[in-house]
Amino acid sequence: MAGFSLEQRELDAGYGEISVKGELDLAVAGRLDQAIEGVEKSCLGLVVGLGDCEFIDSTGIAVILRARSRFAEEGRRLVVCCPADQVERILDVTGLSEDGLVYESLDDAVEAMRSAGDN
Amino acid sequence: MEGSSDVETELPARPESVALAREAVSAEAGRLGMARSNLDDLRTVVGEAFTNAVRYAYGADVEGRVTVVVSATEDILCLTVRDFGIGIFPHPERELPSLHMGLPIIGALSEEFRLTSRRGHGTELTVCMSMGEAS
Repeated sequence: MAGFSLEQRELDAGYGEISVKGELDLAVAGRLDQAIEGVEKSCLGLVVGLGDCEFIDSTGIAVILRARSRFAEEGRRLVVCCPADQVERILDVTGLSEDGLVYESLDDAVEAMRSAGDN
Repeated sequence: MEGSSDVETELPARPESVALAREAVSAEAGRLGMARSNLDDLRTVVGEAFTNAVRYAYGADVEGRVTVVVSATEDILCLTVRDFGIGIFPHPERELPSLHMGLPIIGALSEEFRLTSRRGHGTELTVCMSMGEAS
């Protein structure tokens, strides 16, 4: 069972990243929710990095989707990147891999947010 | 179930129990011969089922229990997640609002599932999944 932690950093041009490490489930989803709320007013766009996330459940997905809606209401974007294994599988099963939420790499995710900001 | 091996795990209905349930069932399924490629889906299903019990079975001040029973044949593994709470009932969302994706995810990853609820006596969710082909 992997421990859970979040790492937050600023990217170029006002974008931010919160990286999820370990297993994102009911016990810890509130921590991600709070972390996103803590930065969402201060960044143009946010990437939730799932490259080191070993497990995600519907509560984790719900936190991400509700945060994405909050960002969208203010004309900004929240995307996720780098899912693998079980996380990628659940994003596929729920149809989220195909709706512009998920990017294979951090560079792709930032580029997508930049492009959206230019339009 | 004919030819089955039943193993029961009982845990407190707390958020931190969800990971314990996932790991306990996954370890048992591996011992019973479930293919590695199917174990991630099983962990997801156990997590969703147990999470529903933790979130919805008991009142905020009730220390409830949740049991998980695993039965397997050569081809199929069934798990039953059972609580002894209020049954399925409308109630306000608590700290983390749900998008109600749990059961649809379970449906997508399983061969079949059956949900039984009796008001005041609890809820039982049985999910059957393919054991897969051993690698």
